[in-house]
This record gives sequence, C-alpha cells and structure tokens, in this order.
Amino acid sequence: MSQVELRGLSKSFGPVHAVRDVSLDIPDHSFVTLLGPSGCGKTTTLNMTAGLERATEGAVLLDGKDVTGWAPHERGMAMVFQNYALYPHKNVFENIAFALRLQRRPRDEIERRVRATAEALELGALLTRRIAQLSGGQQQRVALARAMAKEPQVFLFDEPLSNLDAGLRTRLRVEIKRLHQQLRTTSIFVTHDQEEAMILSDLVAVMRDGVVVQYGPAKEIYRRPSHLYVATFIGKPRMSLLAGRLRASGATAELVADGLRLSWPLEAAPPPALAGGEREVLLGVRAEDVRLGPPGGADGDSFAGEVELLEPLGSDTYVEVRRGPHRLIARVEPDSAPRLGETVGLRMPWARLHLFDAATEQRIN
Amino acid sequence: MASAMPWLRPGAVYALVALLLLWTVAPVAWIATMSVQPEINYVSVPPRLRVEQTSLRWYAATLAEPEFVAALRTSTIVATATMLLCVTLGALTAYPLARLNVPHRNLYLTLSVTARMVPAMILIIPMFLILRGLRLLDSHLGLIIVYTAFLLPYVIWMLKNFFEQVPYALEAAARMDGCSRLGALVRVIIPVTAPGVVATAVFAFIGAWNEFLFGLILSTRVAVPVTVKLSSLVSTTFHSDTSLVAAAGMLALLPPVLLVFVLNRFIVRGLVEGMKY
Repeated sequence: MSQVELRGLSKSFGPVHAVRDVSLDIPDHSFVTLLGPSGCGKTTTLNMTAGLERATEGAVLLDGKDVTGWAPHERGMAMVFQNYALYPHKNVFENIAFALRLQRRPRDEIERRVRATAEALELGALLTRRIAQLSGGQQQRVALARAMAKEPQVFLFDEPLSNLDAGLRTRLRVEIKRLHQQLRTTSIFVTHDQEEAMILSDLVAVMRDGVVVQYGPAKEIYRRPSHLYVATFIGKPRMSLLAGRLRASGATAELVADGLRLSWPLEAAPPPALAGGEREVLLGVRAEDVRLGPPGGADGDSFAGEVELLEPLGSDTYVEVRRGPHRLIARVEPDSAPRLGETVGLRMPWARLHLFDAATEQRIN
Repeated sequence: MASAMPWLRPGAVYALVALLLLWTVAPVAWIATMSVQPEINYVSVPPRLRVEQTSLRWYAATLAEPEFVAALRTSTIVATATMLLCVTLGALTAYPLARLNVPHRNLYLTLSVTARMVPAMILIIPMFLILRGLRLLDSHLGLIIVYTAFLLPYVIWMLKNFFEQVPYALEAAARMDGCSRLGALVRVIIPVTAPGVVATAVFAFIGAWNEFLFGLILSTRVAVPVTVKLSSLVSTTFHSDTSLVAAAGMLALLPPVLLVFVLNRFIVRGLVEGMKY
C-alpha cells in the first residue's frame, strides 16, 4: 500500500518531447487513470514510473522516497501489459511464479501463493497449460495473476483491455474494479478509452501532447472540464458546442451566434471572466442537459431546430438537432423521442453550460 | 500452389521433391555405399554392388588411424568452442544492437559485414603473422579465435533479427519481475527465440567444421582439422584404397549431421507450436 508522487517528469527522445513536466499525486489506495489519445505520453509516463524508462528530468517518489534511479523490480510495482507479455516458453504456473522464483522464495510459499492467486482469478484448472493454448481473455487473467502474486505496492496497467473484444473487455473491467476494491492496492491505469477511465477511476489525469491537461476526480473531470479538450474528449456522445459572442449585462447573459440569439437570466453574479463585456466563446452543453420541448417557447434560452438524426440506444435516444450551421445533441427517453424532420424546441439551463474562451480554450465559468 | 498452378498436382509436387532430394542426397548415398564395399565393386562399369561383401572394416581401419582420430577430435573441439563463443559473444552484441539506443549502430553493423567481403585468401598472411606473434599457430585456440572472428558478424546479424522480433513488453515484464537486462536476455529473450538461436548455433558449428583454408595454413601437426586431414589422406596414407577415403569422409560428416538431427527436433518443435508472443 503506497502513495506515488510524480514530480516534474519529462522525457525527450532526441528533439521529441514525449512527456513534459508531469506532476501527479497518487494517494494511497487510489485508482488513478492516465487518459488520452495514442501518442499523448501516457505510456511513457507509466514506464518512467515503473523504471522501465529513465526520466530526462523529474523524480518518482514512492511513500516519500525518491526511487527515480531504482531498477524496476526494486520499486515493488507490478505491471499488466496491453499484449499480455506472458512468457511463451513457460506454462501458466511458471508465468505466475517467475517473479517469486527470482526472489528466491521458499518452494512451498511459491506453490501456495501461485495457487491462491490462480483460484482468485479462476485459473486453477489452467495452471499446467502452455500460454499458446489460452484465449486472449485467459491470457490477460494470467497476466493479472502474475502481477497479483507478487503482492506489489503499486499496480501499473498499460491499456490491458485494448486487445480484447467488447464483451470480454467489459467483464475484465469489472474484474479489475472488484480486485481493486478487495485489495485496495494503489493502481495507475493507462487507457485511451474514456468510458474505462470513468468506470474504474477515483482520479483521472487527462493528457495531451505529453502534458497533463486536467487532473481530478472522475466526476469533476466530467462535470467541470477545465479545458475544451477535456470537455470534448470525455463524455459520450461528444459535448455539443456553439461558437459565438457572449455578453453579460446586468442580470442577463446573451449569446450571439451565427443566426441565433440566446439569453439567460443570471441568478448569481456572472463569472469574472465575463466582466469585461463581450467575449468570443465556445459554449458547450452535454446531451443530458439539453431539454427538448415543443417549438416556439417565448423564453430567451430556447430556440427551435429540426431533428436531423435519431440514435436509439434502447435505454435512451440521442436526438441530433440542426439549426442553421449549429448542431446539438439531446438525450431523451425513448418514448418521448421526436420524429425525424420534426421541428422541436431546445432549452439549455445556464447552470449546466460550459463556457470556454474561443482563443485559449480554457474554461471561464 | 495447387490452385495457382492447376497443372501441378500433389503427385507432381512429391515427384519434384523426390527429385530434389535425390539431387542432394545421391552423392552422399554414393559415398556411403563406397565406404562399405570393396573398391572393385563400384569402379567396374556398370557397378556391381554385392550385399554379401558389405563390411565395416574400412571404418575400423580409419578409426585405427591415430592421426585421423586426432583430426576428428580437433574439429569437434574447435567447432564446438567456436559455436559456443559465437553464440555467447553474438548474443551479447546482438542484444544491445537490437534493443538499446546504441549510437552509430547501423555503421557498426555495416562495417562488420563489410569486413567479411574481403576474400579470405587475402587475410591469410596477416592472420598467419598475428597467430605466430601470439604463439597460437597450430593450436586449437588459434583456430577457435580465427573461426569466431569470421563467423561472428553473421551470427550477430542473425541473432539481432531474432531478438528484434521479441516484443518490448516481454522484456519489460521480465525486468518488472526482477530480471536485470542480462537476466532478461538469458531467462526470457534467448529461450523465447530458442529455435532461431539454435539455428544460428548450428550455422556456426557447420561453418567452423567445414572450414578448410585457414586450417590448412595455420595448422601443421597438432591441431589439424578433419577437413585438412581428409585431403591429405587422399594423397598419402590411403592412396591405395578409395573405400578408406569414403569411410573417412562419412566419419567426418557424422558430427554435424548428428548435431542437426538432435537439434532439428528442437527447432521443429519451436516452429510447430509457434512462437506466440
């Protein structure tokens, strides 16, 4: 059980800066996800944490101790890889036992620990199998078992579910979550799948171009994205955006977009960023925060549009509405979904809007 | 193949394979026959081979020749040592070239084969002088050093290619589990690429075993390899009986063939089960 601290980690490969000044506090027992598209530096950050790659700058602290120069196995960490990385020349038992054998543990202890871990992951019947005889899902469970048998202080996961088909991915995702709830071992999980990140994590670090854009509780990342990039990366369907000029005057805020004029009564003081009068913004709204109703509402914060696309998912239906150049997605109950081509009224409550500066793309409300 | 070339029926394929096999095996089969028959039986036209005259006495005679046995021993020692040295040094060189960010590694790789483009004949005088300076003429060690120097570049290239195919994560897993880089090489990378490593080892052994030119120049009495001894036997001791030469040839063939047979099972096992990384 340990706390990990990354302090100003950077990694350059020649002129390429893969990771730039990444600092993260990973509390004891927590499950932290590094989330971002491929090439954003998340795996490199994980490898530096593991000691597999040397940091160009910065430090890795484990329970306050600087372990930056330590060999990977000295850090008490275990890693699960995307391609499983099982030893093909060893059977399941020997794969799980490998680290324990290298630690020169007594024979009976190795036997006991391997069997216990295998039982926990329902691998008991497969211990004598060769790796090539296992399915992808079984291989990844063996990889989990191999990591668990070491009883590490920290688990590192490098996109462990990416190579599995959708059904298996969902099942193993649950299994990883259950394991973490049981073991409470500090875990760092790398993925490009935002759904995985939301489901598994206590804390999420969203990365782009080697930099952490936002780090916080999963819920906050979703509810209050600090940057347009985070807002559009997280959430399914993607957050709808309206570009326009926003003005706060007195007790109302007014948005003028291409062919559209919307206004909201302000209950509290406007955000300080709007104090300077007009401002070019991107206004974001999530599908669940858009209300559909009959067209022609007199209120300033609603407008009419035409239903262009319906995406019924069973539990919900996503409705894509078009108004001039603007497109918004709303989530509705399947029974109250409008028809294709129908004109509907849209309403977006001020409290649920995300405002980003058009130039800096930073959140301003 | 059958679908691309419909005229090529499976029967025809087997016939072609049989023909190729005959092509490669026939000379060896003929020497094998010669080694157990009196000369008169196979020099007459047409040859008249007689089963009742089949005998192993030429083998017995060859093995009774101490110089020939010594040459067999020399070749076995030299080829085995060359093989082990090539694979050990080769693996230790190929690994960093395959895995680490070694500066100028392409230059190094290119240079190492370019050196081999120089005809051996040209290098023989300097080699002779070097070995004389080191007092290693006519010694096992001298031959081992020279053969290793010649085979190592190929071994490095072959091993580097095999090592490059091992996924990085496999090595990372080994290092997380407690291996040093050298440990990961020995415990994971080499076992995983075993079929390739074994094939490379066999290549080095056969290369050293079949070498003739350097053995001829650098050895005189003590460390004469079997290839050189064979050629001298043809013109001296055994001049009277071709069957003796054939038996000696068969005996000289035996060690590499045995090695391939023993290790081939290992290579095939690796290939059949497939290396699933």
